[in-house]
Amino acid sequence: MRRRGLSLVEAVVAVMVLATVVLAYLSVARTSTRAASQSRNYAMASLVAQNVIEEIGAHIYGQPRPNDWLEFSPLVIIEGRESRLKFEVSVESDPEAGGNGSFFGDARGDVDILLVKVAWVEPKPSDQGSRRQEISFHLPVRRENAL
Amino acid sequence: MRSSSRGMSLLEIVSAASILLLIMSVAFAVLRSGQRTQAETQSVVALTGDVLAGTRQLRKDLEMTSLGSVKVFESPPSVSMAKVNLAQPTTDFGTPAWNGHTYYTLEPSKGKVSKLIRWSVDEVKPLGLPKMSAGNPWDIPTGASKKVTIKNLLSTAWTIEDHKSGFRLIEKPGEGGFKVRFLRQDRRGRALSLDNPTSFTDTQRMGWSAGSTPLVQVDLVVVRADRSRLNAVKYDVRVSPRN
Repeated sequence: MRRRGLSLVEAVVAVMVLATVVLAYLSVARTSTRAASQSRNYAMASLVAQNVIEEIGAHIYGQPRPNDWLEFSPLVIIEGRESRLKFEVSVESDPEAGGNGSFFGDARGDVDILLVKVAWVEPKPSDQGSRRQEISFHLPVRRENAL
Repeated sequence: MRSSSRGMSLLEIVSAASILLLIMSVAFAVLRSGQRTQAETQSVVALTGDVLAGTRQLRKDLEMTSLGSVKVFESPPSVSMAKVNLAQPTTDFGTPAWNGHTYYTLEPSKGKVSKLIRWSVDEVKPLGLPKMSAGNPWDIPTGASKKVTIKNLLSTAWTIEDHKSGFRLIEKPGEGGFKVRFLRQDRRGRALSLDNPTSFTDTQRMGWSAGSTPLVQVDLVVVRADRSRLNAVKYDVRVSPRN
């Protein structure tokens, strides 16, 4: 019986199949890490949002906002590397939702509607740049002694 | 029948070995990368879980207490606060029914981590007003209810440092444990202090701006030191006590 080795076509096909399997495995692993990081970022953002709600709860109605009251910088270190995560927090009265700016003393009134935003930049795979993520919600506030 | 099989030439052996080596190194790199990715995912998920679970109880206790009853101890780091009777949260007059104190203390665990322990101590007679605890966190009566809130806080003897090769833990008192402080706004800006602002004299209170924010800030560093490389989250929780 005459035995022969693999032809070039067979070898190329085999290598391609192997490469496809390897790439698929890597892609699944990367996607799963990215999903875990995104979920962690959302969790950290929700912690930041809870801190913002507490800050708003402690603020005296009608007083101007303190200078540095929305600075939150959680440090996340994964496998010895810093995972840079900067949160931009904004709290503004929302006229579209019926806010009038009285919470920060910009207008008269006993009730205000605030729009709270916690935003951060989610890094995407190297060739796709980055994506801005945001948690936002409306928070009604009222003067304590108001009826 | 004469067999035509023959051995491999040196060139064939070298080529085969090179191809095998190449395939092995690619496979090894892929497996290593996959392993690292899996470890990273595990760390991220575990850390997030620790942070969220540990913070929930602490935040709830601080929310339900009265600012005037919060007492901070610097060494060992601990805090106490009046607690509401959860079985019957309000009195007949509609005011909170205070029935004891909650303490948070650190208990050294193995390695570089400590446990954050929550103690619930009931008073024999219910409290009329939320007062600071008379007892100390290092002298908690036997029979108090004990619960581990966070099991992997960085110990007080350790600090996270940024090195060229990445972040790592060094044995130096600093960031470890948990720090509880009062956050307030005065004319110069924000200030953190160990003293409860509700116990300030009129002289101490001078300089407070009207927009002052009486908040309690808790700094926490949660680590997973079981792996060779460091995984940690350093964050702060701010709470405005409601009662």
